[in-house]
Amino acid sequence: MTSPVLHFVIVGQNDHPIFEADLSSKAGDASHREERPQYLYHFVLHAALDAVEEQEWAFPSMHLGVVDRFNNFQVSAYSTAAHIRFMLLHDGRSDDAIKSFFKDVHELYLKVMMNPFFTFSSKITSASFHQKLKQQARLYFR
Amino acid sequence: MGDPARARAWLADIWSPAVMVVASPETDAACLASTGLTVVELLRPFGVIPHLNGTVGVPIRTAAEHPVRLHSWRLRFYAPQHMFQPSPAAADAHLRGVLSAAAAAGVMSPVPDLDTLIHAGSVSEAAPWFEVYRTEFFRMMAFGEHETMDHPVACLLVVPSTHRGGMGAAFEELYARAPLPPLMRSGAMESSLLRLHLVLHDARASSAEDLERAEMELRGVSSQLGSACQILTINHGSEETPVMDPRFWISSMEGALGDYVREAAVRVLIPHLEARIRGLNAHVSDARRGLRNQLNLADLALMLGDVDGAASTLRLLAADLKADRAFRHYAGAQEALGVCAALSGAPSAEEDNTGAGLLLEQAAHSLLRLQPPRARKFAFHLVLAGLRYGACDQDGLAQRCYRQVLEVYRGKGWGLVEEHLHDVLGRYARELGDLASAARCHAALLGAQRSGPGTQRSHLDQLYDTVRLAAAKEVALPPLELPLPEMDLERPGLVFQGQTWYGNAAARQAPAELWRPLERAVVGDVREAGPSWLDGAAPQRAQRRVPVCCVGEPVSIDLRISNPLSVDLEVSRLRLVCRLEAGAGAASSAPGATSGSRPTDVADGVEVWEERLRLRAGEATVVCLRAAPRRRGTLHLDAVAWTLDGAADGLRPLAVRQPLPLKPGTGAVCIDAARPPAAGFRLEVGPALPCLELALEGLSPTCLAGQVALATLRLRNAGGVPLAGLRLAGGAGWHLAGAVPAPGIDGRALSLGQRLLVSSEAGDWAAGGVTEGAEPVQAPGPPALRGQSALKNLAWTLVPGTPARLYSAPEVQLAPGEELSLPCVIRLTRPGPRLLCIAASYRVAGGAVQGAAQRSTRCAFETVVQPSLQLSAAVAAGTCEPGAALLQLGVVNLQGLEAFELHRPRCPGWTSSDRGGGLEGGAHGDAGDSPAAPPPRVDELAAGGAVTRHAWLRRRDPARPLPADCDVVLPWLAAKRAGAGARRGLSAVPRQL
Repeated sequence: MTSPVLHFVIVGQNDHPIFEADLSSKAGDASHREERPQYLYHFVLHAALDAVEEQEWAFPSMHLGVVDRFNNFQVSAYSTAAHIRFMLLHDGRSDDAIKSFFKDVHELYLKVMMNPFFTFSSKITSASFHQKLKQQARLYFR
Repeated sequence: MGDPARARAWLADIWSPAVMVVASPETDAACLASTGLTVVELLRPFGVIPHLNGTVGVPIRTAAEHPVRLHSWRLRFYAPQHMFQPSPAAADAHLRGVLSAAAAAGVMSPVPDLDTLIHAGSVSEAAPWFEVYRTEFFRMMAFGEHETMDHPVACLLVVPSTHRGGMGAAFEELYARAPLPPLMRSGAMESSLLRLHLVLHDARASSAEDLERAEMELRGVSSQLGSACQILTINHGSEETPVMDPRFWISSMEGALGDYVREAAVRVLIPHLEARIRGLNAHVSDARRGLRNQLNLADLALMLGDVDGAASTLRLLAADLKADRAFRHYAGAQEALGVCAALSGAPSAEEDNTGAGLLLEQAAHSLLRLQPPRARKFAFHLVLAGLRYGACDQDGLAQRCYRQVLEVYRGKGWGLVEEHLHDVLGRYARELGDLASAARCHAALLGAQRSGPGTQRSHLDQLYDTVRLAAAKEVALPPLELPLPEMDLERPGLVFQGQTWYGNAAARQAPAELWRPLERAVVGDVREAGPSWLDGAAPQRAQRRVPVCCVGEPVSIDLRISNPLSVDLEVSRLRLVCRLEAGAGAASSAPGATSGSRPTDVADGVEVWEERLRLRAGEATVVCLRAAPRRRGTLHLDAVAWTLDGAADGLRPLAVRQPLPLKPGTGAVCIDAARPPAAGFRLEVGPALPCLELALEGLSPTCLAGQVALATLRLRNAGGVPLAGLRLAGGAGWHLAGAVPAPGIDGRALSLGQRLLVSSEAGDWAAGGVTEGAEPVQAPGPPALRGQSALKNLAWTLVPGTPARLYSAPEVQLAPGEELSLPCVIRLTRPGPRLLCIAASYRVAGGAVQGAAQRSTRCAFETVVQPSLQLSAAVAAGTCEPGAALLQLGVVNLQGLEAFELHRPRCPGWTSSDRGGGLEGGAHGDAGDSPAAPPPRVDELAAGGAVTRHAWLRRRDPARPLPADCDVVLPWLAAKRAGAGARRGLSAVPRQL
C-alpha cells in the first residue's frame, strides 16, 4: 500500500520556498521516499502558484481551498495578508481539517515572525516550528 | 493555435464535404498532357469558394429550422483510389519521420527567454514542428471507418468531349468500373451517391466539332441524367497568357472552372445535402435507428455550418454509442462534439506519447497567452510534454522542453526541481552527443547537498565519466562552473603591496591611528598634498582610486574554500585567472624578487602560483592565491580556476560587489545609481619599486615594564631596484642607538621616557655598564654600541604630537638584496600587550620614477609588557646642608614571581650616596665624588615585597642653579629566573626635586 501524500510548503516572496516538510506519517522511511519522487510534488506545488494567485482575487478569506489538481493530487492553499502562501499537497483530505490546520500553522508562523532576527525572506530553520507543525499534522490528518 | 478564430476557420476547413472525382483514364491522360495535372488536382484549388452568392450568402434550411446562412464553403476533391486510411503502423512510422525532420532544424537553436515567449505573436512560433505534424496527422487520419466526415457526398464523373459513342452509357460505364474506396466496397460508406456529370473539353487538344457533337449528345441524355450534367471547356486561353500575374488565381476563380464548381455547389450540392439532412433527420427521429445515419447526419449538419443541430445529434449519438460500448465510434463522436464546441466558441480538453507531448507543449504555450501569463503552469506543462517526448524517443524535443523550463525554475530555491531538470538534461545531452552541455548539467547537479554520500559520489563519477568521454572523443570542453568546492567569491580578501608595504601580518592588523602619525612623519608632505578647497573641483577627484601594485611583486587573495559534501575532494591546480592589459610604461620589467614557491605558470606577463589541497568531508580552509605581474599595465583578477579530483576543470568568476559610481565633477557617491555588476579586482601595476623588509632581533615576546633591551633592526631591500632616502619612524619605547639629535631639539621638552631612551644611560645599563648620570640629550649614544652602527649621519628628530621619533639617513643606499643592521634600544613602560610600530619611507635610488616614486614599509612587532616595580620618591624635609637633599624612595615589587636587585638610585645633575635602610644622622658619605667609594649598595627585593630606601643627593656643581625638574632613576636587575639572561631595567619617577 502506498503511503498517503502530505507535503507542506511555505512560499515567500518571489516564489522562494522558505519552508518545506513532508508531513505524511511515514515520512523519513527511505523506502517510501523512493516510491514517489519528491520532485514531482515540488513541480505540482510550484505550478499551483499560478492558481493560488488567481484564487486570491476570487476569495475574501485567507483560506483558498483546493486551488489546483494534478492526477489524484490536490493542492490546498492559504494566503496570509503579507502574501506568504501556505500550500499543502494531499490526496483528498477534508477541507475543514485543512482549514483548521492552516489556521494553526499561521499562528505558528506568526510566532516565528516575531523573532527579531527573522527577516521576511529568510528560510525557516527553527526545529521547534517543524516539531509543532508535525504535531498539528498528526492532530488533523490522522 | 493561439487565435480562436483561426482555430475555428481551420476546423471548419476540415469539416467540409468530400467529393469523389471519377475521371475516365482518357480524360486524366489528356488533362495531364495539356496541364501537367490530373483532373482532381485541377479541380482541387477551385474547391475553396470564398463568396457564395456574392455577399448575401446562401440560406440553409436546417432540420430544426434554425436560420443559418452559409457565406463561404469548401469542397474537398479526392480521387477514389486515394480514399483510404493507411495502416496504423505505416502512419506512425511516417509521422515519426515527419516530426523528426521538422524538429531537426529547430531543436538545437537556443531557447528564447520567457519574456520573448510571452510577447511572441503565436504559439506556432515557439513550436513550429507542431503545425507540420498536425497537417500530416490529419492527412493520415482521414477516411477512418468510425467517422463519416470524409465520406463523399457526391461523385463527379468526368468524360472527355472526344468520347465517341453514347454519353449516358459512357457515364454509367465509368461509374461501374471506378475503383471504389475500400470502405465503400465494404458498405461502410454509402455507395448511392449524388452523381454529377461533366464533359471535359480541351480547347487546345480537341476541335470545335468535338465540342458541338458533345453538346448535342449531352442535350440528348440530359433528361436521363438530370440537370447535373455540364460541359466544361479548359485551355481556351492563348498560350501567351502571362502565368506569372499575381492576380492569376483570383482571375482564375472567375473563369470557367471556378464558375462550374460554384454553380455545382450552390445549385446541386447544397440542396442535395439539405434534402439528405431532412431525410436522415426524419429517419433518425422516427426510428432512432442507424448509428451511422446519426453520425452522417451530424457531419452533414456540421458541413453546412449548423453547429447546434450537429451538436444535439452528436449528444444523442454519443449516449447511444456509449451504451453500445462502441468506444471507437464513441471517441469519434466525442471528438466531433469537441469540434462543435470549438466552432461554437467554447474551450476544449487530452493520448499516445507523441500526441500527448505535442498537445501538452501547445497547452503550455497557450498558457502563456492568457492574461496574466501563467508562467509556472506553463513550466509544468512543458515538463510533462518533455516527459512524453522522452517516452516516444523524440529526445531533441524533450531536451528542448526541459531547457526552456530551466529558466523558470532557476534561482528560485526549488532545489529538488532544479536537480531533476539538470539530471534529465544531462542524460539527454549525453545521449545526443552534446558532451559540453552534459558536463555542464552534471556539474550543476553537484550543488545538490541534500543527497547522501552515495548519490554525491555517483554525481561526481557521472561528471568525471562525461569529461573522460569528451577527452577520448577529443571534444574540447570549456572549463565548467563547478559548484565544488564552495568558495566565498563575493568577499575574498585582496592582499597587495602598493605604495605601502606591509612587512608582516601584525602591521596589517594594527589600527590605522597608530600608523597615521608615523606615516605622516616618514612620508612628509608628499602624500598629504591633495587638492584643497582652493583648487575647486579637480577632475581627478571624480575618479575612484584604483589600487596600485608593483611590477614583480605578488598580489594575492585570501579565499575561503570549503567542502560541503560527505565525500573527500582533491583540489589541484587551484589558481587565479588574471590578465594584464598593457599600460603606459609597459616596457619596464623587473627580475623576480619574491621568496617562497616558484611560479608554475607564466603567461601573458603574469606569474601565477598554483595550490593543491585535499578537503575532507565538511572541511573549510583559507587559501592564499598569488599572481605577480611581470610588466606595467592594468592587472585584472577575474576568476578562480581549479581541477577537481584530477578530472574536471572548474572556473568561477570572482563576484566582488563593486562600489557605486561617483558623481562627475564632485567625487560624491551617486547613491541612487544602479550598482555595477559584481566583478573581479582591478589593480594598476606601477613601476618596480624597492621594498624594505624590516626585522627586529632581540625583542622577546614578554618583557618587564621599564626593562631596557638591546635589539638589532635589520633592514633588507627585497625589491628589484636600489633604494635611497631612508627615513624611519618608531613609536614610543624604541630608539636607534647610533642616532644623534638633530640640531635645535630642546631636551627639556622631552618626556622622561624619551629622555631615558635617547640618553646613553639606558644603553649603557642594558649593555652591563653603569655610568653616573651624564647629561642625556647631548650624549652621542652608549659607548658599548657606538662602534656598531654602520651609519654616520643618522639624525633623529621628534614627531610632533606623539612620543615617536623620526630618523633620517639620507646617505643610505641599499642595492637589491643588500642588508643593513642598526642597533637599537627598547624600553617599554606601560604594562599590557603592546605593538611596537616602525614605519620607513624610501625612494628609488638615482632615478625619479614618476607616480609611485616614494614608498613606505610598515612593520609592527608584538610583545607583552609585564609589570615590574612601582616607584615613588619624595625629598625629606629638613636638609642639613645647602645643595644637598635626602631622597626617600618607596619601591613596591608588582611582580608576583620575580625578585629584583635594586641599585643605587640616580638623579641627573646630582650625585647620590646610599643612606641604608633608615636615617642615620650625619653619617652620610659622599660616595659619588670619591674615587675610592664603596661599591654601590645592592638590595634584594623579593617577589611581591616593598621597601623604602633613602639616599643623600648632592648638587654636582654648586654654582649651577637647581633645575626646575629632576628625574629619579632606579636601575634594577632581574636575573633570578633560570634559563634567561639578566634582565636589566630602569624605573623612573619624573620631576621630583
